[in-house]
Amino acid sequence: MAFDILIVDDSATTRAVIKRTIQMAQIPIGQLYQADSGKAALDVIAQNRVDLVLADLHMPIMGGMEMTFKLRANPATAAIPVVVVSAEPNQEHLDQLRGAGVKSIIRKPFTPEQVRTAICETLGVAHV
Amino acid sequence: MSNATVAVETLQPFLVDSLVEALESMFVLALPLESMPPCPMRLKTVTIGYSGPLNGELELLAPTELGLGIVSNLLGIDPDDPEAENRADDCTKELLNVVCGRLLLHLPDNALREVSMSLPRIAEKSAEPGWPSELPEAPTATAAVDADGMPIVLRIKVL
Repeated sequence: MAFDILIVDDSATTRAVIKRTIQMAQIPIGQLYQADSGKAALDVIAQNRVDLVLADLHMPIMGGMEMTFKLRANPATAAIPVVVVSAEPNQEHLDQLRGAGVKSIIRKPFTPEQVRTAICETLGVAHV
Repeated sequence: MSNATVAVETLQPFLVDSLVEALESMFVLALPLESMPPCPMRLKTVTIGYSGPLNGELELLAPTELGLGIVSNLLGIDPDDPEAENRADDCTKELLNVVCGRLLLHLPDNALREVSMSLPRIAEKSAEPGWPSELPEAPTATAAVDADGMPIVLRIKVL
């Protein structure tokens, strides 16, 4: 089974690094989508099947927290797993995200291994 | 003593480590500066604010070449490639974003539940805005390191 993954970060370089990490992780990938804001991410999800969202929190237009709450509030998207990749220090915000069902929170700076492990554990695939 | 003063004193011991850790995650080796070089000809100034129980800004002063170097390190793009130029500012802003997030983790727990970060802003400055003439001596709200041969200054500013 191939997984469709959405990477959400306003930093194009960070998105490229995460994309390369995913491609090198030998995870069966279908589509790799990218978005530079929470709003753009919701637009992608409205048009495409997405199996996993990797999202930053601090982004212009719409941040990752608001995006996550909107996903959870919509029955059509509530089950899409979200992994947060962020420099966010605020523990209250992180607790709220966990309460909203965020599967994993990776603090920046991240290692490729952290991203691989979070994706594999969230998708239930064997870690290569 | 004001909350702002307490915050600066709480954070300043971790300025260098937060900067070095972030640089190393982008494959940039950071070492102590032995002396303060003159301000780079082409300087980028990045700022990121934090607010909540205390309000302040982190300011990063770095040569334009730093962003190009990070792009090259992370994506394998030649620094002379126009694509590197396009992405350089993005990398420098992301560097400060990561530094700020790591630094603020050293706040007390109660402050950590209320602090917020802004989005980083970047500008090119041809003047010498606040470039130190001498190496900062601890304890100080200013840190300076050598990053792959480039001087970088990181400063906490209280608002």
